[in-house]
Amino acid sequence: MEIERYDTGEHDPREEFGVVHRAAKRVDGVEKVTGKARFAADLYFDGMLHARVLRAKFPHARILRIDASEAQNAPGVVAVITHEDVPGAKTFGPVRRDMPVLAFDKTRYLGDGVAMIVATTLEAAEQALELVRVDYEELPAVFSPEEAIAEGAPVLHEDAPGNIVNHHKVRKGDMEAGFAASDVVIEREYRTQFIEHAYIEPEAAVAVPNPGEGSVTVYGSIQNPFTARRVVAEVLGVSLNKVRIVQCTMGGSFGGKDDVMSCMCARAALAALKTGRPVKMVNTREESIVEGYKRHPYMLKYRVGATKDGKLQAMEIRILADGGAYASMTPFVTWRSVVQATGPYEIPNVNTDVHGVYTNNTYTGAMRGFGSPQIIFAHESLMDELAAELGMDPLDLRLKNGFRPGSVTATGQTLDDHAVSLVEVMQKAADAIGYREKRKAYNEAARRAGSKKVRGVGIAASYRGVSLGGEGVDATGAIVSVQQDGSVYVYAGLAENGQGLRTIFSQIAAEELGCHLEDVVFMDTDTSLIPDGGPTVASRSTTMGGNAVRDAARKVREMLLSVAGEMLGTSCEALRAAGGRVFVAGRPERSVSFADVARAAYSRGELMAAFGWYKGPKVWWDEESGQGRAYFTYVYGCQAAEVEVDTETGRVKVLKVAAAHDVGRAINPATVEGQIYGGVAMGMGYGLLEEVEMARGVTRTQNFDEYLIATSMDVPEVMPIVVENPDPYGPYGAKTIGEPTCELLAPAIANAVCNATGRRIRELPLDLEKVLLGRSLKAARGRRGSEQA
Amino acid sequence: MRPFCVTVPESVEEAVRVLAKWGPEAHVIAGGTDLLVEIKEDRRSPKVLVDISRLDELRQIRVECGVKAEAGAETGRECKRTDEGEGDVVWVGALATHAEVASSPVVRKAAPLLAEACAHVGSPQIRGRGTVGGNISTASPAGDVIPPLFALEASVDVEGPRGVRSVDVESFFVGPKRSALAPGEMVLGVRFRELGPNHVSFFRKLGQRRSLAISVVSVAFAARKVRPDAFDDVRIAFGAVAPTVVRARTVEKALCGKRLDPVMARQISRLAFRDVMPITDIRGSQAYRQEMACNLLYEGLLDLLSGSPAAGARGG
Ligand SMILES: Cc1cc2nc3c(=O)[nH]c(=O)nc-3n(C[C@H](O)[C@H](O)[C@H](O)COP(=O)(O)OP(=O)(O)OC[C@H]3O[C@@H](n4cnc5c(N)ncnc54)[C@H](O)[C@@H]3O)c2cc1C
Repeated sequence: MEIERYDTGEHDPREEFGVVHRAAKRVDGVEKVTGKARFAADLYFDGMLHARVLRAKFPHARILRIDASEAQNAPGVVAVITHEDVPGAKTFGPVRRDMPVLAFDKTRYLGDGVAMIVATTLEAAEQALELVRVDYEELPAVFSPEEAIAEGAPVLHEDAPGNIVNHHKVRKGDMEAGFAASDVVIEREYRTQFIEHAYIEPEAAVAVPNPGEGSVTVYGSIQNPFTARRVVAEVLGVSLNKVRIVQCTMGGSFGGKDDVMSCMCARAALAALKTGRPVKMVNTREESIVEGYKRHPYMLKYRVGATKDGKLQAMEIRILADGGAYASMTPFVTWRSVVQATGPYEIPNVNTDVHGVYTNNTYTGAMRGFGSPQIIFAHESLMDELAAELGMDPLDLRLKNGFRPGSVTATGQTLDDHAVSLVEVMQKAADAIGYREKRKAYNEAARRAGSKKVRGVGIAASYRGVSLGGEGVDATGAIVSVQQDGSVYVYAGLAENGQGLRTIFSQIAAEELGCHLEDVVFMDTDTSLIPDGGPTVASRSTTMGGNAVRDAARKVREMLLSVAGEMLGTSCEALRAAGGRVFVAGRPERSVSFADVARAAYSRGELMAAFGWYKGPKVWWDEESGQGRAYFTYVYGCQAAEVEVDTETGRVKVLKVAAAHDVGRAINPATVEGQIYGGVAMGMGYGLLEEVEMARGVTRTQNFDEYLIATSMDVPEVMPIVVENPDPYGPYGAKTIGEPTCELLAPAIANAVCNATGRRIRELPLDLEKVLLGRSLKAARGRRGSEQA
Repeated sequence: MRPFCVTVPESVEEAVRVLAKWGPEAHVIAGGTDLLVEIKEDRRSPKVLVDISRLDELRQIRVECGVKAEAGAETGRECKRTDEGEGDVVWVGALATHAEVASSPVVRKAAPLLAEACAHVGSPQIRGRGTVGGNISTASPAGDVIPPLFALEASVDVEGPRGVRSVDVESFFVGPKRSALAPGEMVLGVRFRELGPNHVSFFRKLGQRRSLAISVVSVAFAARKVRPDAFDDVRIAFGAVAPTVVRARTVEKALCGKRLDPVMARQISRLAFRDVMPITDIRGSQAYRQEMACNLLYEGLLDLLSGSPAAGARGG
């Protein structure tokens, strides 16, 4: 297939910067560590009511009747709201409109909302929940993808026969020839678990009606304000300009405050309009875990063939993803999976099928990683297993097949317009952990049987498409507005999620304007002030939003420089702006302060604000052949782990992690390292501890006593290795760091454990029993543990 | 969650009076780290909370020897001499927090295994609030303070409408989350004889992670070292492997006086199978817990034999 070439945009060859490429303090750090940041649950409005949601009683049931009369008359209750009160669309969804804002025909998982009580106090609302009578006809349900696709399985959604949410494929080369050319063929099955985002702040929103205009403002812990606005408007049956969404400080999101927050915003808005009063909704931790979507469990079957010298010939991949009750982001999550499923290796013949499947489990959707952690666990375990079969070192096998400049991916994309740094990151991570020496030493140690504590090292590598890729429109905007005293506002269509976007965008604005970082204030996202710039997802903020901020700031700078040129009596081409001054290049003594230029511009009546916009480079995708330029650029990462396994207990202690990530350019190196530390901690939780247990649709791990994330005591020494190969597309060459950091550690640990013990574990997480006894606990489990202990 | 009243008595007598008056409707609250969770989850709905935090006398940790304790005179007993005929009695008040016990010089000297257990409860926040009295009154088979008290053969001082009584620790626990406290009774503290100069001890706990983890299995061990490789006066208790914390009497008997090498230590540790009867729950299966009881004990014994500095105790 002919691959189109695209021009590589503008590349900033500068190596010297004033504000970017330097560790900057988080602009919102002080307010957070001093407890002054305001979260949605902190908001209060006069006359504010509280709403609670009645959840489904059965994971799959027909709703026959809802009788709210008794609840209606309970003390303190102002309104009981059911689907009958929904004036607009009863369902929503980013791809398939299949999720009810309040259940009407059926319930499909236990987190479904069936009715909502709005009352003067939280307690009154809570107590009235028990008074709502719902008659159900329980329906047979399915709790695993295998059950869901079986012949005659109960169907969740009438328009999705066979419970199939979606099917993506990749077809490349000739599988028969590929396997025929292979000396070694192995087939392996891997499984991953449900996991929870575990943001520290549960979902919260407050809706305030503006009765005069028939509009509503919703404040909330909202990852994607524009998505929430669309859902609220559709549910209310009003136009987009009647809904204003204001994002509050976020207590974490990790992809998790999208659909579930759109739904909460819509419910709160419904209640506010119905009662004419502000309405607050805050999920308890238990509700958050039961209602909120999870990372998809995958069942992955891999078959791989290679020549005896280790050259990969063919890979066949079959994946089932548990989508739970609603489609949510499953089509996009599984799309990223299908694109990246082979891992960063050249393989001439590839055949991949990924199916997203409906079940009556909690639905699954976006979570940091977005379809990559599952496939990376599989392909990186597989590479080690293949290496063992070939009698090769796993790193050598990766180096032999890994992408290099000009490599062609499984989807037929030639990697020739950015730095393909896979080999570099692998070598750097391996060197930092001392892979070669330790691998050998530990192999020998393992042969000396009888020791209680055994050590191992393992690595995992990935490539990752930056931004949305073939998922959809990829464009976003920003406003930079300079005030007459030289202070600056930045507004952006993308939103702070705790990842440090405010700081990064402020740095970019300051860099371009030549002002001080302290002069810049980043304004929280408000959908009434800025055009829809798409969602804050896919690690796209720095690349996409950063370019938009840069575009806006440059426009303002141009105007300011022409004013400064007049003030200094020179042409603006000769001027530079940096460090709060505008000066003549090479003659810094001929300068004016940034504030004076701003004052002069103001008094001359200049337009001191500008709108910036950035549209991502073109990508394309052919669903039928599963071929295309899936993403416009990629990042490469490798993490190496050293572990110690206690053979008496199965406890895995991670001793050290080396994490090498090519970020293009680190706009704020401190933030990059912060993302690496956090990503490693999450990756470790995924590998060793975390699992949302669902038993016939019932979530058993409803709080952090039983859903275990890694604590600071568990997280090992982390060596962040920031690799910088500037990218042609990102601002100053910057790419992505948010997600790649959390997708690699689980397989690196599994590989290290295998190096230590000789035991290959193909199912996450590697908890005590799986490591010691090689089997999962789940089947034998009884009731929730805390009821017993 | 139902509404409730809180009363803050100024004396133990007053607390006991309120408890007696309200019977099962009243619950003592100390640090609240267990109780508040249960109230929030509607597993308990008391009408009255008796906040004992002002009863400073219950916060003490002290050595009581030969004489009746002064502050706790009404509860004090004569020091009983053991076969060794030596050793002070230590009293730890119900309101002593895990942090206080863990850092108490008295406890660290007299019963390092108890200090160690307290040092590994929950997190710094939980150790700063949670109390010894709360831990034993909750009577969880996974309560970390309890196995050391078994190994110390401690007794629990209890006061109720009918006065003060002392219950030996093994009879205090009657089932999962069930203690021998009668209605209206509360725990004043625990007492135990300090370990002798030739005694060694350890506490080990296995959790899913290194901190903030409820024990999957825990073991407390105390014994007198009669030779570098042999013990007597062996007392071993396991947590989270039976409806209550249990003494491992089969193992104790087998260990007594036996000269140990790693193989022998392994063999004897395997006998723990006979002393435990764990259940399967979200933290571990029955089979795994059984195995772990043996292995934790074995690891501890090995460290004692090798004289490793970690031998004292370890958790987390
Ligand atoms: C996050 C977290 C982690 C934890 N980790 C651990 C752990 O690692 N190991 C562990 O063992 N426990 C752990 N716990 C449980 C708990 O913290 C401890 O058991 C603690 O010692 C309880 O003491 P408290 O003072 O907080 O008890 P409270 O909650 O005040 O009371 C607990 C129970 O005891 C009763 N009670 C309290 N004092 C008395 C008294 N003097 N007389 C009679 N009854 C009384 C109360 O009525 C109540 O029934 C944890 C708890 C939390 C929330």
